[in-house]
Amino acid sequence: MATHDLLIIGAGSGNSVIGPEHDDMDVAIVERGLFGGTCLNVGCIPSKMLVYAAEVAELAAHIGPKLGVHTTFKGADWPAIRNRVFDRIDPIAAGGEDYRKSLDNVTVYQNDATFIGPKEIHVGGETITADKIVIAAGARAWAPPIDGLDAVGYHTSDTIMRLDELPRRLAVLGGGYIATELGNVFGMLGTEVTFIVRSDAMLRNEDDAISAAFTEAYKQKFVTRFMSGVHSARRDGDELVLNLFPGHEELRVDEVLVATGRIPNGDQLDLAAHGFAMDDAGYLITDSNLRTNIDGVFALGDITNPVQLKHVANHEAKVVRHNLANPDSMIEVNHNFIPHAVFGHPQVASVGMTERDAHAAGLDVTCHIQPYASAAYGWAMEDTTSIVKLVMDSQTRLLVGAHICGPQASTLIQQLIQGMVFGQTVDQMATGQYYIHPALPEVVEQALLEL
Amino acid sequence: MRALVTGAGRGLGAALVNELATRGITVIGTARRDVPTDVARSCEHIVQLDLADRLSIAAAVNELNTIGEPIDLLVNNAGLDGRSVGGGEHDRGPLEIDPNVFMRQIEVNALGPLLLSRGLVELLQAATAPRIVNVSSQLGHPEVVRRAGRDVGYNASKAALTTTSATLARDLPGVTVVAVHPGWVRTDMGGPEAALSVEESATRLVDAMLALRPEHSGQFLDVDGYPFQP
Repeated sequence: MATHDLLIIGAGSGNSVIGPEHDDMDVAIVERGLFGGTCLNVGCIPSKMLVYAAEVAELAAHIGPKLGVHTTFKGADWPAIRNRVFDRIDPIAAGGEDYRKSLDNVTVYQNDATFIGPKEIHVGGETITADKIVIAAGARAWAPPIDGLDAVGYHTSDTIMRLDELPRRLAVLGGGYIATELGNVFGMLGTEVTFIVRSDAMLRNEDDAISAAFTEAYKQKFVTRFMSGVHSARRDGDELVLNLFPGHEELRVDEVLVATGRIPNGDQLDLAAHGFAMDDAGYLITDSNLRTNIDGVFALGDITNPVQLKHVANHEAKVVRHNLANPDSMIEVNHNFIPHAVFGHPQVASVGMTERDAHAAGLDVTCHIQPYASAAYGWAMEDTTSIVKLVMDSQTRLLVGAHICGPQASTLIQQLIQGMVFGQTVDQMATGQYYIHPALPEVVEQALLEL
Repeated sequence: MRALVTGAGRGLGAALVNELATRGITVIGTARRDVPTDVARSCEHIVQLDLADRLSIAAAVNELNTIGEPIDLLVNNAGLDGRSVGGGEHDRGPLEIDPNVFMRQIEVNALGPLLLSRGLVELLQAATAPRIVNVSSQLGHPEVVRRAGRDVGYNASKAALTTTSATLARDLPGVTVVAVHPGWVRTDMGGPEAALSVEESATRLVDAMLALRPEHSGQFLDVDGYPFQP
């Protein structure tokens, strides 16, 4: 049995746990797929490169003409758009792998890992162990059980971005961030997109006002079926035929994107059978130092937490790295005010509690919704639908939540995140600094002043 | 045969949808927000409906009339107890009740079903043996309330629904209109101690609904379709 000093399962965020302090150690990495993990290869990075192309298409098709500019959208060269993305990122994954393999003290195992004991791992016919283990094996796309779906073939976020050609018609199952980002990409590049959403709105986890504004925008742009789903799928020649509920209407498309959620990979590692504490949803439980219940085994990222965000996994990798090197002075993970964004069109960004969360927590809150149209730059953009919603604790006048739906949402929200993290009151954020006139952040200023 | 069930999102309504669909009846469900996947699969249509909102009732009525298919069975199942409309665990009694909580229960549990029924009269009368089943409660009966039930808004609203049902029966010849007590059912509202599972209540209620005859119109029936005995 090969014994290493440090073993890392998953070369996404796990790969950045390794630093110069490990140069004298025997380190092993297990990775069954590409180095760089979900974010680099099938997640954040390629999707945003596509989102940007789609945004340019949308500006040309819809915004230019509204402003009197003679732009038109004449179609998309999908292979060129796709190759721009993957010609850039595939070498990064390969480079990361080559670098690790080039190091004398690092062994790379390119196989599935399965625990056969609390610290014994079966990988590619070998059994290995290590003094310290970091589990960073991520999560995977989940598809609901639908008759015939496996047989007809469907795409997830793992595969849809590498399609050979742009589909003429695409069905998107789901109304969450992956569905709405990727559905919008294809829709803006010329595909006829139909969203099939189990609930009554898009982005149901967002604040109700944001979800409603976003849903309305998508209803205007796409065919949307809410409170709907798929009884069964079959193939008819080149077409995929989905039998939809409620009722039995048939939808004929060329491709299906299933974006109905992600599940952690702990089951594939067989963690529960070997003493690891898991929660009901299958996430690996860690303490505030990111230790699992097994001595010497740490965990981080999507396998531990439904908040599947790269910026969280990056932070957790730093915590694990520190704690591996400093067992006597470990630091705690900080999960306060974790922001997120959805790069659909409109864009959404959010931090902290929704109004509903705040009421459920029994807080006395004051809320305000400010339209972009109230700021000069909003006029310039002819924006009539975008909003900033703030949720303030009425007693302390501290923000407990901020939610934005509209252009540059993910940028506009950053000052609010900063104010919340550093404990500034709404009044300090509103009046303690200059806001550049007439820039878009004035809408944030106005929202703060209204509270 | 086509049935419309309000409050299909959970509890007894969800079970009624599944039971009706199992028996080959075409079902339209209504819900304020989402319905579970099994219910959505059982439905021909799902209509968004918030019985506390008269505009929502009007929109749903409009949508159903646009679909235009006759409705053989309207099940006014949706209902709220005091907790669901913001009443606290210990302030739903007659001396403490917030007037808004009381009024909201009247709106949802009694007025809403009336307005919906009224809006669907033409679709009901287009069916061969139309029936309206108002899911009321024994807690709307004064003899029962002498012994149990402190949620005064709930009790009052269910009494209102039962009498509204009987009044409507007189004015709608050709439509069999009844109120039923579904039993004490293990739902979010009934709690875990209740005597009947939702499936059992739904099975017995559907048997009773399918056995309804014109002479039942105006009556308050138990879960098996017999006149309710307090």
